[in-house]
Amino acid sequence: MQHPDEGTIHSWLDGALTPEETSAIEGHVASCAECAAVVAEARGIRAAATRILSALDDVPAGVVPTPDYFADVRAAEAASVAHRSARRPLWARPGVRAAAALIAVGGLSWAVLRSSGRVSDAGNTPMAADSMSVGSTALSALPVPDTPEVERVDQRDLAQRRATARTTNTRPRTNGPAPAMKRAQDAQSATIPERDLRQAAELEDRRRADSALRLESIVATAAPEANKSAVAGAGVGAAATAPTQQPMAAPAAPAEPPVPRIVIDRGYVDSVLAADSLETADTYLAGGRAPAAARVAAPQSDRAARSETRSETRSEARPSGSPTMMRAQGCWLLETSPWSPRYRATDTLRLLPRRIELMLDRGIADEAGERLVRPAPGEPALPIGATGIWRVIATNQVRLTIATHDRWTTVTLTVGDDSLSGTARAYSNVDRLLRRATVSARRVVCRTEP
Amino acid sequence: MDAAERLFRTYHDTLVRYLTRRLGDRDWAEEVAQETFVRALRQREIVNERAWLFTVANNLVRDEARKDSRRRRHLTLLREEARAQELAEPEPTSLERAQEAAMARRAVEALTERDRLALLMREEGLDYPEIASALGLSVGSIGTTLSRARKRLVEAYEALQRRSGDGHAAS
Repeated sequence: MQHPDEGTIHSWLDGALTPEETSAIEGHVASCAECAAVVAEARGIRAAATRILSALDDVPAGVVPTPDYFADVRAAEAASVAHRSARRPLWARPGVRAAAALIAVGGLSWAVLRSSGRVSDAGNTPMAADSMSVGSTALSALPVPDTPEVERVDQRDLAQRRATARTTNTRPRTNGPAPAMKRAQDAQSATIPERDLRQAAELEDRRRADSALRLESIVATAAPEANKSAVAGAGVGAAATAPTQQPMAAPAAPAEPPVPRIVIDRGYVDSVLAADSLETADTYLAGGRAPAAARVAAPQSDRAARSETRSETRSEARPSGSPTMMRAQGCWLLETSPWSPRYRATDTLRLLPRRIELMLDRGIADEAGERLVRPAPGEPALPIGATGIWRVIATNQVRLTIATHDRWTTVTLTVGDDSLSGTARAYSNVDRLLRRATVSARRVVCRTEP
Repeated sequence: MDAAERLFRTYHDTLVRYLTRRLGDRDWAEEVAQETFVRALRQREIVNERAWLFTVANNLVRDEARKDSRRRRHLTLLREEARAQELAEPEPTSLERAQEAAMARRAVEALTERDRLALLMREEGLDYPEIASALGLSVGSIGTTLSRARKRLVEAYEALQRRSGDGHAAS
């Protein structure tokens, strides 16, 4: 036999050769030192390639759906079928929807499993202890049946979504005894402080908004009838404070889909759910009262007052927000520590202005409760094409994201009394290198715009 | 276990991992995987399920890449924001991991499209005929394609590592 080429050696190592070819190459390599060296190198390259590719994974390995997971999906689907089957058109038959729901919840469960995995990983470090306790509380506190939000949004779609989110959220990452764990978590939720419950409720809202959109984007488009009710459901929540949400959502609903079709439209679903979840988060915090009541109690600067006045004349912008949002909005002078690893001297575009203004104005896309952030009046403008958004991510916590097409900076800040503190992270779209700096800020008066 | 469930159970993990490696974006990967499974359910008969799923997923990615780039950018922004939150803890390891992942990503992107897809599919356990079928190549060429892809990947990665080491030494 001739010396095998590298392709043949890799085919052999991959087990892709016929038995005859395999025995031929084995015999040759056993007697040819040169080829044995090539094979050894090929083995090394093969292993190295696998290792390099595994660095790309942020998907935990070995995550598989547990058996009761499908039972949950079927139960939810059965309930839904009983409710709707009388008026269901052909294209929305149970099979189609079951399939869509199955896959949607699969993705959802995946995401949730991943996030719970993250929480447990984070628990390995002392600095993550807080987030771990909040995270696990969130999981245990998910079944909160009597929330104001449920009263407001009496939609079976939403209830079903909640039910499926609950079952998937409480499932452990490994194939452990899910029901036992659920019971333990239920027991735990009965004893945890109310403050934690509220934090958990808020976290759950964010998680729900994120996971629900997966379900909704699929179920809604596979069954436009369900879509309408889902839109109406989210709209009910938003309608009290945001009547303009409804028209914005309407065009996204498929008018006449003759064939079930998936339209992964995160933007649309986000915008429908965002108003609901955002308001709900702080409605929880305000003890279930309307956000407006909470706003009165929140400290307000002149800027906030002006913004609220403006809100009455610009209904489409609806510049109002949760207590955290109202406390955070305004102008801030940032003090940023040196970045780590430090920027190269040539890299001047750092995307974190010295003075910023957190505005109550919504962005054009109006995604997920985003508001605009910009350099405070008098500061140099952001590069052309850059966008800045901020949003409330938890009680007394906001996150800023300033981005151009190829890089971005996020700043997660805890909102104190006229101060902000937290961490900035800078990313490059190209190589995704991460830089970090600590940031503190004090409130400053926004200069009058020229 | 019905067909849909079996299909999903059998291939969901591997398809998402393949797509995540290919796209560098798990959310996008999950979206594509979902769409792939929905299409599979509409299909009356699939001869080779795994090859079919990977082929459809490849096509979906290609279609997706043609879509409005502006909207894509915005979604990227949102996703990265979510990712930033993920990376928040624990910090030292995530920095190292992010750098490793960045180098791996660049090394993978240094491959030609065909080499990259063949290698990623092989890593997910597809056999040579399946890879050949998904990429429209002859089975006989897969060994050569894979050996070239692996070699280039490792070389590119090692070059990036060296460069990164030089950079650290300089700064």
